[in-house]
Amino acid sequence: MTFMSKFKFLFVKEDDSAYWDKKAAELTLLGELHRGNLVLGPDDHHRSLAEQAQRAVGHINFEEMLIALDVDTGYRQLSKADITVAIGIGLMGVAAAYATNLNAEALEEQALKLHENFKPDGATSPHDYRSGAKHRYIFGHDFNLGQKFPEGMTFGGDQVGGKSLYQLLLNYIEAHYPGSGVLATHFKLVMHLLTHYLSDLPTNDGLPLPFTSFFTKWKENPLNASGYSAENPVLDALGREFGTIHASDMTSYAVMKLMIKGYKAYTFWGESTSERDKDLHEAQMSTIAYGTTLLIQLFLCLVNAGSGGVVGTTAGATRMTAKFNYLIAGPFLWNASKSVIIVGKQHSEIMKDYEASISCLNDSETSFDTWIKTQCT
Amino acid sequence: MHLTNHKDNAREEYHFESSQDYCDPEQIARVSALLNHRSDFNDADRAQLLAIVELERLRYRFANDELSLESYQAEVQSIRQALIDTHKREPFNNAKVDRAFYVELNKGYGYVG
Repeated sequence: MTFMSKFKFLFVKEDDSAYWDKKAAELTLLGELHRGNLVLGPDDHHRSLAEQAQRAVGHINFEEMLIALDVDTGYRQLSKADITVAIGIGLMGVAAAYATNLNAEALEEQALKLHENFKPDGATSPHDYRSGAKHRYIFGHDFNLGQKFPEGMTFGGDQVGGKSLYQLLLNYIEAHYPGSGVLATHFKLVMHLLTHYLSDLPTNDGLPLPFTSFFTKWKENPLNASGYSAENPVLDALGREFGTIHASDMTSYAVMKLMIKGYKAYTFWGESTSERDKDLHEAQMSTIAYGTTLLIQLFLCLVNAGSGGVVGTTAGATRMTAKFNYLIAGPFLWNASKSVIIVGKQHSEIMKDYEASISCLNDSETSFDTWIKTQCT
Repeated sequence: MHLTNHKDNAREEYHFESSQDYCDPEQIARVSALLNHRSDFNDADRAQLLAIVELERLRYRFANDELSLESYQAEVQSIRQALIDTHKREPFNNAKVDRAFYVELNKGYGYVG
């Protein structure tokens, strides 16, 4: 097998229709022999079953034979066209991520406008009490509402150390929206948090993976104005490429999901395929599409694509796209597992049928004709 | 306490609150002059910019042994408190002035993110 054919084999399986047509011809021959419509000649005994079938009944199309036997042919295996479409959807996923990153600043601006509705003028949000490079990887941006600043830390002259993010947010909302009831206060708190995160999502640093702030370590530092410095060894090791979530992750997932659903609807329009077979087809398409996106983004990461690119430029957008896309990795694993589970279930059902068929055949009281009838019911 | 000149560590992003480096006065003055012309800065923004510039200069002086650690700390807290007292604002708050200053300062050292 040449390198190219090996490479092709990864994506496109070999056409097996000739094999199944041959089996259909053999089955037709056996049926005709059983019914007495055909008799083998003296020369035929030296030939293989396939050769005998070729001589006696000629070419038989497997699909047509199934239709003639009234067997449900709704099952649709992944074709070359499906695989090509799935890879195309994967490429569109990367393009969607790139387009999002190219427009990161405009998206951030829109999200900030939304955030202004839940952020009092001029008041610093508790999410931003910690400043500095990669500050989001340290405090307040990973849904860990229980995270606390070190005891003794102050902000704007107020003690903020030892209080949880939830407590700080509650104090902040209550101070700037006095008179709100418990529900209204909490609604504003949640909206403040969500819109703040939303405005950070399109940016270069994105948001850290949820609950990674559990690994933040604080220490006193006389050099800093706050008196403290902090580090997060987990996010330092993972870096922006493997430790963050971006708006581009979301848009690539949304675009791909939409396209896969659309293609599924188009493919099975008016077909009588079972829901399980449709689900298997969708899961297989999704696995290939998400896998393509993951591989391309990781490849870009591997070759350091767009290195040094400034946000808003094509190089900057390429650099931001070169990352591990967690929102695609999850669905990729889910759909790969789903494909295996569905195929496993189908296989076990077939095996049960086989076992029933063999036990029927092994029964000494069962005639061959009765076995045939059992198979056809 | 040894501090590194940021020009020797320019691959890393610099910020007063997250770095053990110091910056050259020329770079600090360049960014200060650049941002002083911003028309969208109000009085509080300009006071914040001035505080950040003073803090950066202080760190430069401390790194070059012109100040003891005690004097450095006292002056840092004095600048910080003055800004809080007059404008109810921290020098480092991740807002417009803080971000703009360090984006430009890092650009001056060739850092792009």
